[in-house]
Amino acid sequence: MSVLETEMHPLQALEAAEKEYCGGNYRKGCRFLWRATEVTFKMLAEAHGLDSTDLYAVAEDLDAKLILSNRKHHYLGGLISGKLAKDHYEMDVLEIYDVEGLHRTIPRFVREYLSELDGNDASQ
Amino acid sequence: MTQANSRSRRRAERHYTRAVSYRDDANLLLIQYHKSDSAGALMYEAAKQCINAVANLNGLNPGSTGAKRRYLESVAARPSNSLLNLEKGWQAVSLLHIHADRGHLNSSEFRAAWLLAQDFVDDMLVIYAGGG
Repeated sequence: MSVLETEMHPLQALEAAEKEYCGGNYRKGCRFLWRATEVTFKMLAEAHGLDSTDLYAVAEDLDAKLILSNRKHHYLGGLISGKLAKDHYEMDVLEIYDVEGLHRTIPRFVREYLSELDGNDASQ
Repeated sequence: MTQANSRSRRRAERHYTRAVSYRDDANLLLIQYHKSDSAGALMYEAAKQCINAVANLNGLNPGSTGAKRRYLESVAARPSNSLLNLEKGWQAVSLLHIHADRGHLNSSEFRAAWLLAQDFVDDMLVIYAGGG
């Protein structure tokens, strides 16, 4: 992965993923979907004062805050979607219908939490 | 939504029974024998049986995994269900399926996929119990 890619904002990664998907480059599209997920979780960790070295621990901590809502394992699910995208990029393991699903769920999840971070002014 | 005839209903019951059995066996394999790959394979089968059980109740019989996947989209699109949760649940099930073949998930990844796959199977069984 290039330095440019590692510095990508999640929205830029989503845009790149969409472009690759539309061009039929499904594995490369999945690489950008994972990138968007990974950076979103790092931003969430920072905004909530959590250690970002273990993203699964971050997801579980954030889910614990949602315990009274109707969104069981919500963050963990977002991370798992990203992990599946990463697996497809690395191992070419998915059929097209599953890749389509990733392009539905990951952008929705990422955009939802970026707007939440904007609302919390995560830059502070 | 199509109505199921008696044959389709019997088929649905068989799929439901297998789904519960595979899910329980998957848990047994994991908890008692620590076989995450075999447990993942069985949970994947349980998930597919659930989809078939719900489809059969609606008079449909998706054969291939692709057909099951597309049927799941139609279930998830119903206003009473959560599209994002069922989609993410299926993605967790898919991760377990890959793990069964490659053994690639670390303990945190496996635990997360397992929790979500259990949610998925449980949610589908609730949908079945509600009449599909």
